[in-house]
Amino acid sequence: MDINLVFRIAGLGIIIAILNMVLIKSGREEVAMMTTLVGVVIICIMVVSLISKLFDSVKTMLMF
Amino acid sequence: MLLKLIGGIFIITACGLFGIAASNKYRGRPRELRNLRSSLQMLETEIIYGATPLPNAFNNIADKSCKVWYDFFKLASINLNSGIYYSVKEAWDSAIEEKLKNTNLNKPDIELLGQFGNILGNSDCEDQLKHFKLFYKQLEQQEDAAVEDKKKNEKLYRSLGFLLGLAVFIILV
Repeated sequence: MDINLVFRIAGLGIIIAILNMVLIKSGREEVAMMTTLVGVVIICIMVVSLISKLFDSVKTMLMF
Repeated sequence: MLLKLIGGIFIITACGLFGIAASNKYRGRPRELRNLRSSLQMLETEIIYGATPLPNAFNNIADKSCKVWYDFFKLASINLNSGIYYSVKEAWDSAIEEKLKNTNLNKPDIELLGQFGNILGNSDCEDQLKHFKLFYKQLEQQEDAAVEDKKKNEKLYRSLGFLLGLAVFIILV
């Protein structure tokens, strides 16, 4: 578990927030929503392996 | 680490430059339409008051126009003088085809100008004057739309380029 990932997610979050603001300001609400959605999906892809690891460790802890 | 940083700078500058190129398109269009209008006003004077033949009139206004329209009217004049085209319309269209494809004007602008070539030199002074008046009105509408587009899109594309570059950099690092 490295701290790098946390920073990456934070940076991406900031950039997507700015993008969202810029797009809404120029009157493209639907595009802004799509960018937010894409950002969420990208971050999900980044953390999906960690989540699966978490599930595995929970499973072994509960001895399934 | 250093290599990554250099690559990241490349990506960000490339995306930023793309954004700036896209926003320049919106910045140039109102100016070009304005210049077209002043050139056509000169053409109107040449036709209505000077009664100059079209090839000479094109040549005269080309000398007084700025870059894009200089090229365009010069070529139109050369086309008319060369004698390989049967009508003003054809010479006009070939000049449009040659010179206006790579400018900031969009398709409706160019179509409007093409329609105007249909009328040019086809009737007497009074009728031409009427068509000029109509064309100014249409051009004004295009200009307003262009200014609106510029306000909406110029800043957006500029920041969009840099931000997307930054996002790609963060995803890849």
